[in-house]
Amino acid sequence: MNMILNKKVLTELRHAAYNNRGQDLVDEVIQLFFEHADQAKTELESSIRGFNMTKMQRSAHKFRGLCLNVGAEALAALCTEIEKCASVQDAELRMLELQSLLAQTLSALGAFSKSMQAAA
Amino acid sequence: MERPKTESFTITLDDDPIVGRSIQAHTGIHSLAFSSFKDLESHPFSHAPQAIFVDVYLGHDENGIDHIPNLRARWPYTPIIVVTSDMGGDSIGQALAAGANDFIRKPIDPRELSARLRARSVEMSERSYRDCLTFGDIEFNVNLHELKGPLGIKHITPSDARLLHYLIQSHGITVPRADLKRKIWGNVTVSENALDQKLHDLRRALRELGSKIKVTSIYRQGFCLVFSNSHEPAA
Repeated sequence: MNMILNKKVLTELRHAAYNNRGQDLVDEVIQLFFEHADQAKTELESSIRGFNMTKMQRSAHKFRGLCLNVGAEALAALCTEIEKCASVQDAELRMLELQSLLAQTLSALGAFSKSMQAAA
Repeated sequence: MERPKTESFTITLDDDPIVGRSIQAHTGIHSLAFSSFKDLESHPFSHAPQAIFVDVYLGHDENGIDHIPNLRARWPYTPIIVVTSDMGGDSIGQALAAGANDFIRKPIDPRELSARLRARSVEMSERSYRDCLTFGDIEFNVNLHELKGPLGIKHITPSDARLLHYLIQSHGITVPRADLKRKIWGNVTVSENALDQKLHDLRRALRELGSKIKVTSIYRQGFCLVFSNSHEPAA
């Protein structure tokens, strides 16, 4: 079962950063995810609407990479499924799930970020 | 984005902005991030990067693997590490065949990143050392055909490079004319004048670099390199 947010990924990122800049790095990575996830979703939707399978696979792959950076495992797994979809119709069905999962992921990331800041 | 002067830096070719940022944070080395090869190609670099990290999929229609041969040709001794979230398929094999040294997975594991970067840096540094021959006051890179002397650096032709390589390997021992011809042209028949022309070019290159090495002709025996700063040929 994939987790909405595998906190271990960001926690390890925080501890491993050079020069004790871990908290800054985690904040920046979360911020970048917030900035780019919506754009990645829009690109994916547009490729599905345009019935462009190659673009759809690329967009899903890119989105998956973004998700892995922050430990958004469930969303990354869904992106993999979309990447492997045999038809645009299959992908379209999964997009509904993706929207809901993205909202849950953003909420979990927001909560995680607050808890890290409070602990610092 | 600031242009590095002499400090170490790495290059990240990835359309995911988090990757370059993470690599910089984990290595402590400034990372110049590019989202396309076109941007990277137009950037002025004063020296070679410490490592290059390349994503497989760049945007919607660019493949990072396609650019590895260009990067390898430009920086022969820089480790090229592919960053991928795709552990199946052929992409890793293709990247290694194209000239990459290694790969790391997304999300980036800091320990894996450090270990692979360290191992590949040592490997490339050793390769660079192996390719670099020293004789007298010159350094010659066999792979790059690059000749470094007191007054600067010169690139010589592949055939001049084969000639110089053989003469350096001979450590000042006289090499017969026929051996030199065989070394440069193999079994191809060339005129006597062709070797003289190569020797002339090599002597001129050494002169222009301010080197004290002479390509000496020994009557009826052949040629040898002599470092004229001392009485004995340099080792």
